[in-house]
This record gives sequence, structure tokens and C-alpha cells, in this order.
Amino acid sequence: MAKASGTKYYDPQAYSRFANLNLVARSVVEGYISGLHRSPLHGYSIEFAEYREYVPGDDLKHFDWKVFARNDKRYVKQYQEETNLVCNILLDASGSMAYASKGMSKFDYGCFLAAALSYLMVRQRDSVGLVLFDDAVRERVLPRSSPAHLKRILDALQSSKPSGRTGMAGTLHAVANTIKRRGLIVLISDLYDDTDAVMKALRHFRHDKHEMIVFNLFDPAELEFPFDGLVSFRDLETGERMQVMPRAIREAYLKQVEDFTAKLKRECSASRIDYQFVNTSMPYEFMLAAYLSRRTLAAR
Amino acid sequence: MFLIGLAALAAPVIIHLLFRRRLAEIPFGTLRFLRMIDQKIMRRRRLEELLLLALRMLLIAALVFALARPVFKSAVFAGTGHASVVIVIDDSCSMRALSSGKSAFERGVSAALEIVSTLKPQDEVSVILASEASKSEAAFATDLEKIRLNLRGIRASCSRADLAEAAARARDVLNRAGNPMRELYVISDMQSIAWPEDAVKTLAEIPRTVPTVILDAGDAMEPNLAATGLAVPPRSTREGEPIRVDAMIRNFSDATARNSLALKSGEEVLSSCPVEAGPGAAMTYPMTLTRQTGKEWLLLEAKLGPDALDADNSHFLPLRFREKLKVLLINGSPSPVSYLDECFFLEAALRSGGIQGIGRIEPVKVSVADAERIKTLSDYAVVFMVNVPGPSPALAGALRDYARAGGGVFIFLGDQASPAVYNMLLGPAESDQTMLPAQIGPARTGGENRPDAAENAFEIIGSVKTGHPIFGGYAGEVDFGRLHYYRHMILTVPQSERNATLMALSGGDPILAEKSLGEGKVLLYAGSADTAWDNLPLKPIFLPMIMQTVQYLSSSQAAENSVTVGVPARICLAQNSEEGALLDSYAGEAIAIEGPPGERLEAKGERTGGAIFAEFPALPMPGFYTATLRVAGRNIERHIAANVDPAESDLRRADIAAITKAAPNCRIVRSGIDVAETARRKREGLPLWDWLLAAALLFAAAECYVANVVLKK
Repeated sequence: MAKASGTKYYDPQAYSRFANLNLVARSVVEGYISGLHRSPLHGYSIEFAEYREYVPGDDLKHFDWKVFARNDKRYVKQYQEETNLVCNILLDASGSMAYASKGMSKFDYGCFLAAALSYLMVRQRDSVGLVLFDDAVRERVLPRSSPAHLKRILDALQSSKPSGRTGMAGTLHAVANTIKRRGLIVLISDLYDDTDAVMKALRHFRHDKHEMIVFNLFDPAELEFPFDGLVSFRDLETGERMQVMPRAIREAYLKQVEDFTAKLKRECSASRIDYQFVNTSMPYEFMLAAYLSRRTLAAR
Repeated sequence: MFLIGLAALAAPVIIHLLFRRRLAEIPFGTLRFLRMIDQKIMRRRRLEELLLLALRMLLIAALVFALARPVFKSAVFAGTGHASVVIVIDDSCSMRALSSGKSAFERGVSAALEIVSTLKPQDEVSVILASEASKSEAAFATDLEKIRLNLRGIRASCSRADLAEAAARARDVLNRAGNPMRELYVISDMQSIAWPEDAVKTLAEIPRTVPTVILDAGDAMEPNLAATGLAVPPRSTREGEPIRVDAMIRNFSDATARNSLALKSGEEVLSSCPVEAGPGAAMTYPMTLTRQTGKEWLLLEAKLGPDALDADNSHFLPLRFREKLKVLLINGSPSPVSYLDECFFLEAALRSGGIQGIGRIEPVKVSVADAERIKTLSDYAVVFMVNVPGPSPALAGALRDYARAGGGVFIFLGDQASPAVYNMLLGPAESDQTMLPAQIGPARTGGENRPDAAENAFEIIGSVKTGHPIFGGYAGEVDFGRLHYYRHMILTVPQSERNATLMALSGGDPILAEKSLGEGKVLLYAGSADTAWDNLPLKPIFLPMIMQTVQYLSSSQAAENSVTVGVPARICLAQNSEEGALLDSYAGEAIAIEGPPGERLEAKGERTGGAIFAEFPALPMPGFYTATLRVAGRNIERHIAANVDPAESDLRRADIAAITKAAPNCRIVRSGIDVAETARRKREGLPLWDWLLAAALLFAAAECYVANVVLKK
């Protein structure tokens, strides 16, 4: 871990907020080694799963002698194998993520979030990878679980700048096609793309049995629209300008945002995708701590 | 300066542009939500922004224009120059009507002064008083101070005003005006009768280049009772009996009015009573007085208490008591037996007593032969011809002259009368030079027109001209149906203004006809004066009818006693029947007239027939006037009453809308300030700055509203 110190997005002090929390996959994931997560392979690991009637040829070391002694029945114990998790963090690095009404931009917030999640994964000895994309995959760090790998992820985050247009749907499809093992997909984005197309891409991941977590980032200004007077807004992705009287349209704008998030939340829920609405005015560590706590509770 | 100010108009635009240039540009994550917002909202907001900009520009424009003090000048007053102004003032009696303690005339004069105050030196003014429009020569004057003094000195008259004549005079004066700007102001209370069609038509003919303003100085009609008449009913009365005097009161307002009425002689109140009259009601109040022996004249005044128009609260009547009134009866069928005498009933009626306000009647009965020897019939107030077979040519001529000079002749026909002689000597009836009211035909019996008629059949009265004076003044309803006509002569009354049928039988034959001849009147009765042909002498109507006939026929030559204020009149001052041959020596001396304090006038006199007539000028004030006629070294005094024209009491207002429609070139304003302002604006143009300032305030208020309420929604 010490290797990662000194990078912009590595903040051990903040990580202390969720030091005692784990990001546990809710669904079954496939790992290489034993770990926190349930494996689809029923082997002989620590976690007892069920009894099975003994058939000749079974390893006698799993034969339950106690049952045999009490009931004269021959059973062997079966155990659910726990394995490690492969987590891919997909971070939107399009131009719209560069928006910051004050302080931290959505992209920076996303980077901090991605770094924290990566740290968490590596600490859990899970593999973690990173995909930075805009309308195409800009940079990809394949999943590994070593502390040195965290450094690579942090470096990738630090060297990236948000720019370009969002072509999220296509990019996600492309990424989905490259991930073969079931695992955890964490998408960090403002999702400013065609919602239906985005949902289709997310469902692609679900179809491939991946567990999905979506952190939908919003700048507080995007949620409150606190502008006044005659304002010319410039689209950070397209450069397009639009002159409006914010006071006049605030209500309608907020309604649009609400509809947008509501639709995402509804569609994600339907697809069993964990949707997390994120207001970047909230420190990411608090947000993450709260999320993880909630998730852990839900898992029980 | 104005242009500099006008440049400020660009300020909002510049500010707007600068504002646009310094428009905050905010990078934003996405415009997708903004694009999805209903474009209508955006358009509306843009319109509201434009509205705000427009309001700001209008505000500055209005302020700039207001500071430039612009005036609107019409094509009429595009040029500059001096003004010729004609002010017509309605000074009729109705202008004296009070409203809120001030008369319409006072308001009118104030308005005229306001108009004069707007004039500049070398402007010229002509003031025309409507009551004197036809008398005085209107001319322009430039001494504005003197005009103001004159205006302050004028008083409303008590007569009617001729606004038609005044408008025509104003038009003529304006045509002679020398200044380029000409204006006409008519100040009136808009009393209905003061605005005849002619007046409106004349004003409508005034060219549009001459601004014509009518100042409505009148006000809503207030209760106004008027004393419209005072009369002594012509009924017989005996010496010492109280005399009945009828006071006529009329309510000219739309509400019930109450007042008090007093019958006065000088300062002495002879009788009084409370008065109450409904809207528009005309009431007659009978009052009584007792004649004071030895007094020839009684100057009566019916006096109402104060109300909106005081000028019409008095009505005056000079009452003269004469010792006797001589009536000549020419008897065509005398009889030594009194009750068989043709004149029996007539003479009895005439001797029954005097007539109120006239005096005792003295009938003088003569035969036809004696009548022909009478030199001057003018000594008699009335001549009755009773069943005269036919007048001789000399008597016919004397009667004709007598009637022409104002005498009254009543012809009773009968069995002795010869239609042919009458028609020849007194006819033909169609001629306006002869005295016969109708062509006389043969006698006809009552049932002659009906085959089933029994013996002694009679006809009854079919129609009566009840409004005629000889039928007026009866105490009750007259039952003419009880008059039976067994025989009568057939009269044919020509269709003429001079001839009239007063009574006709049920069969259609006229029974009583009338003709005016010169100053006199002739009545022809187709029945008899006794009961041989009809029962008229036996009926109650006979006595009052004879009395009123005497009153009626004698009135044409009797001294007249009342004139209308402001109206010249020809008045019979004296006649032979009263003064005898004294008047024969009158040689046309001027007649002195002395009236209410300060009024001294003179009238021309003329002797016509047996009477002296005076050409009275228009009397200015109501009240009693004394005309003194000097004949043969002797002064003959007559009292004449001058009364306000009752039409002036009717304060109903003219239809303003109709006047506006008929004379669209006229502008009607309500107050003197309005008219002065109108005058100033007509001359100097319409100042627009006050309107512009008002508009600026309006724009400012609108701007505040749009900026702080509409745009903040």
C-alpha cells in the first residue's frame, strides 16, 4: 500500500472511514483463489454447504462419521467454495465529467471513488481493474490483486483528463465483450447518454452474469440549477451554447433531472443493478462508507 | 436638445447589448435537459424580455418627448396669427335658473371671461347676446379689458333668446373676420326650446375651419314651479260679491313640487294658499278678492315662493273695474208684450249682473230703424242683431266698419231674417272683406232630414268646439244634448282660416259660426234668440254663454292688459266705448311707458277705428308698466302687465346627442375651464407633455411589474 502513497487520488485518511468494511459481491462471482466471495464451484473449502449421500469413490476425508455412527447412514459433507472477486471499475472520462460548479469535478470525484474502491478490493485481496472511457476505451488496466497493481490504477487515474464526447453505450458493450469471468462491474459516470442505450449496455453485463454497481454522479449545480440572470451555458462535450434565463426554466429543468434519475433507478432496479445516486457535494468517503454499510446490511 | 434627449432612447438598447456582451457563460455538463424543456416557456420568456426592453425604451422615449414639451396642432391651426373670436351668450330667462347656488348665466359669463383670458393683444372678440341678436349690430372689438368689463356688467334677460338668429349673426360676423384664426363659442344652458332646429342647422353650416364650441352651462333640472297665468273668469257677478281670480301654476320639473302661493296687490297679500303639483302638472288655484269701491285699477300679482327659477314665480294682471259696458241690441222683432219680445231672454241675461273684471253690462235696445240712425257704433262694446229682417246698406256698412275696427257683432237669425238680404249685404261669406261668417240658406225644420221624423221633431247638438272662449269657464260639464232645435237656417261655412264652425247640429248643419274681420269678430247663430226655434234661452248654458260671448267679442277692442317680456306688441290702449269721442282728437302723440324702477320707454300710437293702438317695444322686465296717453290735454293712463314667457320656465334640456349628431363640427364642453382650455388648445395646439408624462409613469409601473413580478415567476 505504501507504494501508492503520494498519488493524487490516494487518501488513506479518508479510507479510514470504511476501513472495517468490505465490498462483497452479492451474487456469485468466479475467482482464482479463496476469498470473501461465494464461488460457483462446490469444492472443499471452509464454508459448509450441504450433505450428499455417499457414493463409492468419494473422498473419505469428507465422510461424516458422526452421522454414520448415529444413524447408520452414509453422507459426505459438501462445502461452498469461497473465492476472490474480479472487479472492473469503469470510469467515465468524457467531457461532461469535467464539470465542477465548485471544488471537485465529477471526474475527480469519480477518480477518488475508483481509487477508494480499488484500495478496498486490493485490501480484500480481490482483483481490481480499471477502464477509462469516453466514446471509446481510453485506457484499460487489467484486474490484479497486488498492492503494486493499485499503484498502476492510481497512476492511470492521475494521468487522465476528462474530454471528448460520451459514447457510453457502445463502449460498455465493447467492454462487456472482453470480460469473460463473472465478476463485479462498477460503473462511475454521469450517464449523460441515451438512457435506453445505456440500460441496454448495462443489461449486457447482467446477461453475462456480472454484478453491477452504478454510481451516477451529479454535481450539486446540476441538481439545484442555482443560476440567475441571463446565462449562456456551454456544453462541455459538444461546445454547443445555449442562452437561457435559469430562473424561468429552473422548475422544468429540475423535473427533467428527476425524471432522468427516476428512470435510471427504475430500469436498474428492474435489471437488478445496484444504482447509487451520488451528489458530489457529499465527500466520497462518507458516501462510500454509507453505501458499503447499506450494502452489507442488505447482504445479510 | 430634443435630439440629445432622443439619443437617450438608445440607452436601453445599448444596455441590452452590453448586457448581452457581458453575458455569463457557464460551462455545463450537458444541455440535454435544457433542450428538453418546453420551447414555449423559452419563447414566452424571450417575449417577456423583449417586452421589458420595449417598456424601458418607451419609458425613456416618453420622458424625452415630454421634456421637449410638444403640442399637437391640427391642420386648421397649422399657421400662426391672431384670432377672431365670437362668443354667443344665451341670456334667456332660463339662464337665471339656479343650481348649486349659482345661475347658469353666471357660469356662462365666467366661461366667457375664461375664453377672453386666453386671448392675446390684437385678437378680436365679438360678444352676441342671444336675446338681442336681432336688435344690435355685432362687431369685433380688440380692447380685451373693456370686453371683460362689459361681460361682467351684463345680466340675464327675462325674455326668450333666439339662438337661431344669434348663430346666424355669429356666422355673418365670422365671415367678416379679418384674422386668420376664427372661433365660435356658444354658451347656453341647453334649454330645449332655446335650441330649435334652425339654430343647430346654422351651427352645422359653419365651416370646419372655424372651431365651434358649445359650452353647456346648464345643470340637472331642479324643481321649478311657475306662475303661468292669472285670470278672472268671465262670469256674472253682482256688486259687492267677492271676485274669483284663477291663478294658474305649472310644475315644469320631473318631481312633485311644493310651494306657497300668494295673491298680492302691491305689498298687500289678498289671499294665499299652499301649492303642490305633480311632475308636469298644470294646476288652477281659485282665489278670491273683494273689490274696493272707488278704485278703478287693481294690480294683481300671483306670487310663488323661491325655487330654482325665481323670474317665473310672479304673474301680473292689471284689473280694471269699469262702471258699465254698453251693448247694443238691434231688435228685428219687437213686441209690446215684454216676454214676446225677441230680445226678452237676451236682455234679461245681459241685465242679470256684471262680468267679473269687466263690470256691469248696460244693454241698449233699439229698433232697426233707430239703429240706422246711430252715428258711431264704436260707442258699444258689442252689437247684437236679433231677428233683423235684413240690414239696410248703410247699417251693413256701419257694422262692417265697426267690426273691422275691433267691434264684436253677434247675429241671431229668426223667422224675420231674410237670407238673401244678409248674403247680399253682409256676404259673401268667402270674402275676407265681408262680415258674414257663413252663407245663409233657407230655414230647415228639425225632422226634415229624416223621413220617419214625427211632428215637432228636433235636432240636438252634434259637435261643439269646446275650446273656444265662449264655451270656457263653466263651473261644470255642459250638457249640450239637452238643447233642442226645431228649426234653424242652413249655414254653409266656407273653408277658411277666418271662418269657423263653433257648434253644429247632429244632422251636420252648423248652428253657430264665427268670422274674424280686421280687428273684430262676428258670430252668426242659425237659431233664434227666443224660444220659437230652439230652447237655448231656457237652458242653464244660455246665461254664461251670453256673458262669455260679450267678454269674447268685447275683448278685441277692449284695452289689452298683458304682454310677454321681450316681445314687441301692438296693444289697444283705449277705445271709444270707454272714452267716448275724446279719442277722436288723438293726433298720434308718443305714449310714455313707465315700468319697474328705472324702465322708461316710449311707444308710437295709432288711431284705428274707434280705438287707439300702441306699438309697444319689447319690455325688458316682468311687472307692471303704466302707459300714459295724452289726448286733448288730458292724460289717459293704462296699466299693462309684462309677464315672463311660460316657455322659459320649462328647463328641460335639449337632446345633446341629437345636436352633436346634427352639428358634428361642434364640440360640446361642460365647464368654463374646459372651454378656456379648449380655446387655448385650439389656438396653441394640444399640449402633449402631460399625456407623455402620464405615459412615462405608466411605462415605469409596467416595467416594475414585468421586471419584478412577471420575470421572477
